[in-house]
Order: sequence, then C-alpha cells, then structure tokens
Amino acid sequence: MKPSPLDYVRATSVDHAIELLASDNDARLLAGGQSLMPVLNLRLGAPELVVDIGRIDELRSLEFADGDVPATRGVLRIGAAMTQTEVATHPDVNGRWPMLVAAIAQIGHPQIRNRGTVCGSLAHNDPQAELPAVAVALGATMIARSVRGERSLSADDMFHGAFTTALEADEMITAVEFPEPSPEQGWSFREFSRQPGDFATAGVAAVVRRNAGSIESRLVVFGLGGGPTRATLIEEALLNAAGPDLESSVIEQWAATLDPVDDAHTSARSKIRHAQRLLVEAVAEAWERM
Amino acid sequence: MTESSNRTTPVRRVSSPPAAESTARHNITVDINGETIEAEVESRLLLTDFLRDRVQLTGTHIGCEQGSCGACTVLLDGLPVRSCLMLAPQVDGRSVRTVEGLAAPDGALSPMQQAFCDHHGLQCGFCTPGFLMTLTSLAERETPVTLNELDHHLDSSFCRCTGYMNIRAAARHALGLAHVEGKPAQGDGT
Ligand SMILES: Cc1cc2nc3c(=O)[nH]c(=O)nc-3n(C[C@H](O)[C@H](O)[C@H](O)COP(=O)(O)OP(=O)(O)OC[C@H]3O[C@@H](n4cnc5c(N)ncnc54)[C@H](O)[C@@H]3O)c2cc1C
Ligand code: FES
Ligand code: FES
Repeated sequence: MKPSPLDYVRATSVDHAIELLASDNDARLLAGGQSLMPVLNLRLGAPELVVDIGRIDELRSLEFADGDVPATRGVLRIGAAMTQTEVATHPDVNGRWPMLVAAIAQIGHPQIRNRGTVCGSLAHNDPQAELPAVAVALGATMIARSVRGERSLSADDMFHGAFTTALEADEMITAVEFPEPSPEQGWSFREFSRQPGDFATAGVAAVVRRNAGSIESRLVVFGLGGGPTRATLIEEALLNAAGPDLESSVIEQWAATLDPVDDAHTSARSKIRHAQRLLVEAVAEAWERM
Repeated sequence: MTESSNRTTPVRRVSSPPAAESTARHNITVDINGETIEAEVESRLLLTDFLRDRVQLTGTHIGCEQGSCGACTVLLDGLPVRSCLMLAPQVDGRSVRTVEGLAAPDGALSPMQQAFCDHHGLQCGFCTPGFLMTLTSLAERETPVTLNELDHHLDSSFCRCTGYMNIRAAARHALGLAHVEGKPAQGDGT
C-alpha cells in the first residue's frame, strides 16, 4: 500500500525540528525511515506531518571525547542522523565499542543499515531490536531536546514496554552517548533469529566486570515482548561467583519470571528456552573475555 | 540548493498529475543515472513510484513495500537502499542509480549484468534489478569483498525462481571470487 496523504518538511536545524514537533501534535520525526516508512505504507499510522531530520548537519556527527584523566574512559557520541552503517564501519568504533558493532551487524540487511539510524532504533524501541538492549548493557545516555529544554535520559530510565520510551511527544533524541567499555570488562552479544536479517526471536547483551572482589554484571534480555529487561536474579547470583557456570535452579527461577507470548512462528515456551540458552552462553563468553 | 544545478547536462522536467489533495508538493532536482531530473512531487509519493510512474524507469520493481523483498533496491549516492522506504522529496539534491543506468549507452551490459547472463542468474527476472544494484555496489567498492560478505548481501533479496545458486555463481565471477573456496553461509541460528 501507499502512505495516506501527509505533509513533508525537511528540517534544517534541531530548533526547526523541535518547533515543528511542538506546533503540530500529529507530527512524526523521520530519521532513516526503516521503521516509520513500513508503518506509513501499511497505514498502521497516518501522521499529518512528517519532519525529516535525516539531513540536519548538526546531527551528522560522530564524536569521541576522551576522559579528562587517563583513568576515565572515553565517550562515543552519535548524532541522530548517523546511520547504523556509518557507526559500525568507523574504525575507532570497531576497536573500542565491539558490542555495538556486533549488534548492528545483526540488524536487518546492509540496505536497511545504510538508512536506519542508531538513535531512531532507540526512539522506536521495538521489543525485538538489538540496540535498546545494547544501550542498557553499556549504560548509554540519550540526549533529548524539546522547545522546553534539554535533558539526559539514562538507558535504565529510557525504555519502558514495547514501542514505549520515556520520551515526551514533543521531544527528540539529538544524540546518544556510549561510555567506553573498560579493558577489564568482558562482553557478549548473542541472538537467535529464524533467518539472517530477521528481527531476533530472543537475544542477550551481556557485560561482566570484576570490581573490588565481586562480579558486577549487566545482563540484558530482549525479543521476549517487553522492552530490554535485565536478568537481575542472574546478576545477583554472579556477584560472588567464582566462575561463569550458573546453577540450573537459579536459571529456572529466572526463566519463571519471563512472560513472552506465543506468536505465529515461535511458542512462548520455546522463546524462554532460547533465552535461557543464550544467557548461559553469553555469560560464559563474557566471562572468558573479562 | 542542489549540487546538480551547476552541471552543464540538460535538465529534463517530468510531469506530475494535477494536485488531488491539499498537502504540500515539493520541487525536487535529482540526478538519476547521470541525467538531471526536475519534478514537482506530492509529499507522500514513494521514491519507487516516482521512478516508475513519473520518470518512466520501470526496471525498479515493487514487491512488498515494507523493506523485506529487495526488488526495489536502488543506489542512493552509491549505497544500496530500499526505494520503497523513501519519500520522493527526500532525494532532492541527491543522486540515484537504477538498473537502467547499468548498461553502457550503446547497450553493452555491465560486467555484473553480463555475469548474470553467462551463469543463468535469472529466470523470471523480477528480483534481478534489486540483486544487480546491491551487487554492483559491492563490485564498485574499493575494499575487497569476502565470500561471507557476498552471502550476506545475497540474503537481502528474495528470489522465488533460481534457488540463488546461479545468482551466487554470477556474483562470484563478477567479483573475482570464483576460485575462493567456501560453502554458502548458512544461518547458524545465532
Ligand atoms: C526489512 C527490515 C528489517 C529490519 N530488521 C531489523 C532488525 O533485525 N533489528 C532492528 O533493530 N531493526 C530492524 N529494522 C528496523 C531498523 O533498524 C530501523 O532503522 C530502526 O528501527 C529505526 O531507525 P530509523 O532511523 O530508520 O527510524 P525511523 O523509521 O525514521 O523512525 C522510527 C520511529 O522513531 C522516531 N524517531 C526516529 N528518530 C528519532 C529521534 N532522533 N528522536 C525521537 N524520535 C525519533 C520516529 O518518529 C518513528 O516513530 C528492520 C527494518 C526493515 C525494513
Ligand atoms: S518493495 Fe521495497 S523491499 Fe520489497
Ligand atoms: S528470477 Fe524470478 S524471482 Fe528471481
């Protein structure tokens, strides 16, 4: 199908875009369009105004800020008009944020990543999307702007249920900041999808690090229906663990807290089994890399 | 506003139907296969429909209109993208290449097109323009292409006829990967 009648404006600056968002409550931002355009074509949505932010110069930036003392980690700041391809193929991102690159490789196909943006994926918060989970695992911060001002949102606060976030209707993400993983931190990104290029049936983004004799971890599960969700029971079990092997009773206890629904392709039960297997594998791999 | 306005090549203006709706229309200038095209387009016109119905380049096909099938793939400033997931006003000032732009003006096929002929890489031909555009972007890239990368690009379009193996053979020849050992990448489920 084709989109319903709409108006299109190419915003020339962030101020222009947020003014349009504030003045028209049926306006939608268009970044890469790889989620919004299918919605418009299928007429699952019919906004009156589409505000294209994809060519705003000030959003087309990838910045590396170094920590102010050698011990502090750097920060990668990704502007909202940077595509997934542009981020993943940057040599510094590849070397220093390997989980981000590994996760982007799992998003759709090259043609999708050539248009789709990192910030658009975070704003959209598809329950099967990779990047919201990576943002939680790596402790990313989103910068949101509206005519009312600017605020920072931590990934822990940003993602609510499926397709819902802490963003207000008149707010846009201008950038996301990923702190640089410390060298002693181990990571793993694993997902199961039915065929290459498909959204994940289930996936895990895991980070583990030693801190003052205990193991701190962020184990984020996605694909099961809600937004990205931390496996807090397993994180607690790892705190004083001597190795990555998890007791099966703990895994079962955690699995009992999961609540996916059956869909056309996969039963809820098999989603839980996938999530369990992926979590065990991810913890083992992250531990090995620690 | 547009880079193409400085060019010396002639500009072709394509016509649009009279306005049937009250929403805004946009004057756009696009480089399409090296020709500068000017048009007035509705806000909601898809790039695919602009190419097919206004510029009369019907080689770009429409399968799913949701980004999955790959039949509508074109090159936008050299990179493959789904034309069904772009609005025509978005390409103002940019350059678009379609399957019609691959052969030389005298009709000689591009190396990738010739390889599809030689290796029987198409049957009904519906998916072919999309495959050709994606694979042409690989062929024209400066960094070398690996077999694994080729297979990931082959995953990105649907072909209902060939079973992919002849498309793969054609692409391997055109990309200089004919003698590289390797089985097609299998989805390993992770
Ligand atoms: C065939 C296909 C396969 C795909 N497979 C996957 C996959 O496996 N995994 C995956 O994660 N995704 C997948 N996607 C979706 C893709 O990753 C999208 O690019 C991404 O979800 C959204 O980014 P975008 O820039 O395209 O956003 P858009 O489609 O432009 O926007 C999406 C939504 O976010 C809002 N938005 C966009 N940018 C901002 C911003 N800066 N601030 C506030 N709101 C904003 C828009 O208003 C809209 O509501 C797939 C898409 C297709 C077509
Ligand atoms: S028509 Fe565009 S991907 Fe199918
Ligand atoms: S040749 Fe018929 S769909 Fe590919």
